[in-house]
Amino acid sequence: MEKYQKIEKLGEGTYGIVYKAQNRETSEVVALKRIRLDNEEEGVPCTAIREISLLKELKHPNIVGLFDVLHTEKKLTLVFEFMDSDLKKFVDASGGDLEPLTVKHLLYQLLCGVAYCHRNRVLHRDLKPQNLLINKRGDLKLGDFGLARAFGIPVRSYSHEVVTLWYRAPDVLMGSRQYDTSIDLWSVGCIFAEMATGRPFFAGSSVDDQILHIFKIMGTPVDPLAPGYVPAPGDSEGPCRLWPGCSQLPEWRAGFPAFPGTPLEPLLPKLSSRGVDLLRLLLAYAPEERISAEQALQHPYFDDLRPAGGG
Amino acid sequence: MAANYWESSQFQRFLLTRYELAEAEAMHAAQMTRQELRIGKRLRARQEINAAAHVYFKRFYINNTFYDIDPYLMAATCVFLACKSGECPQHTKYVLSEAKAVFAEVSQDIRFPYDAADIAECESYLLEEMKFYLVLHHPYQALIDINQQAGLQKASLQAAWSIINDSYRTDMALVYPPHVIAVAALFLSRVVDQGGQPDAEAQQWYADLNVDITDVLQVVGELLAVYEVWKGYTEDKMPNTVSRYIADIAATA
Repeated sequence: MEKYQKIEKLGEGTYGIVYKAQNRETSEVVALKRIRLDNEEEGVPCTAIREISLLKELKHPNIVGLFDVLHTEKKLTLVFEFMDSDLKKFVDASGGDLEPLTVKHLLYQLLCGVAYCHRNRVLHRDLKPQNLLINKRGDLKLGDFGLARAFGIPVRSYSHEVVTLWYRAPDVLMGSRQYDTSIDLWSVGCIFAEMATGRPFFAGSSVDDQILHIFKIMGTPVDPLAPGYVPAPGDSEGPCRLWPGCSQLPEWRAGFPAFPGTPLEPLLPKLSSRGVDLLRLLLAYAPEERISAEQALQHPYFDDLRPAGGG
Repeated sequence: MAANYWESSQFQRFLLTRYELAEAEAMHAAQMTRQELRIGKRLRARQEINAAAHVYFKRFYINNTFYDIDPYLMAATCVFLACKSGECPQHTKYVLSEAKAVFAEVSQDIRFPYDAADIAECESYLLEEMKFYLVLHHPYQALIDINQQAGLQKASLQAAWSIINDSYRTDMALVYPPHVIAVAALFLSRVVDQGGQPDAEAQQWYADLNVDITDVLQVVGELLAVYEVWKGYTEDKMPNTVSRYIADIAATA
């Protein structure tokens, strides 16, 4: 008989149904992700190949553990460590009102997981609250690596249909195909703001609408390299609006409405000034200016999580 | 995934000693097909995808014989899977037709009566055999990393890159870590081009590398030996060797 006893259906992932189940021998509770191999002609789906092969190599406390892969003729079953919930449900369950310290703990773990991926040259590319798994102990782990990829040379154009709209970096929204680790950090910034407010930070309904949502809050970016650029008075107070080269992006339009941007503090009343500062660094327009996961972990916002006197 | 070779499955599970490899090789003859490299070339796949297909092929036949699965089918399947894991998926039909074209070019004697379902089935055997460990570390990335410090001139870099391509026509990717092969390729590339690095400077540079230089020289020696062998190798003998070899196994099985 089967090694795992199904307990209940948990939901549907990118490409299959997820069940809670129990190992009959060890009584360990696990999550089973079933992938039906319907397509006889194309074999195992590419997303599954990517997820399995990357998770086989990535072992970290903030990355969901892949215990086993069961392969039969008609289906593929991935056996994951069981996690009670995900960040979306977790935020909803709190009524959108997480404790500031909880937000800090969760963000720290998220950054640890992302930093580990990036050290190993893996882009997640689809970071969003639904893909961040949480257990009762408050551990956060990155899940759903179906869109992740190992990056290396040569830098090639990646498909830009990645990362759910709300968490998609502006350079990707405007058609950049040369993206790198910085796209994951934009997503982290959006998730950070969402944890702090209880609502998605930039909730656009289409690519254009998403761009406008970002511009309204962060200000329409200004290209200091564009011909005829004249420093505007507002540029000095919001240096993050400066984005060298943005007017060269494929989907850039000269007719974008010029929003000055809004101060972040009133939008994030529960966030300390250090938190707002970190958020600004995560949501930097220019990808090369965006803070890395490794640097973000060193940000003073996390000072009170570090043991006193320790490095 | 190239940053952490020492924790990778490639190092922990798949690195063989020469002896282990020789044992496996002896079981299925020294004559490998290397057709996967040609199929990949026809598909215009990236060099790393070709390299991955080649390593998958080798990994499969370490524990299996040509008699278990037709090596021509496996070669096409390895390319198909490497395209997926290299995030550049191709349709089965396309891989099949290109594989057919490649085999027809080599010889009319090669039979390749397979369809898409066969590739899908073969893929499942391949995945089973490799236990889904598909991520590979290639010398290409190591070369790029080394070059960030060495700052080589374009000609030397190009030469070293080509030598790494050649290394995949041997089985050294199964025996040596990628950075050792990269350093060996760099070393050999000095024959082509001094890379703007005078001998004395180069000596110091190699001495400062934290790499086992005996391994490097071993790889250099193997590469030189292979270049020697190629002079007398013609591909049209290959199908004959393969079918004779399969017949041998069939006779003893």
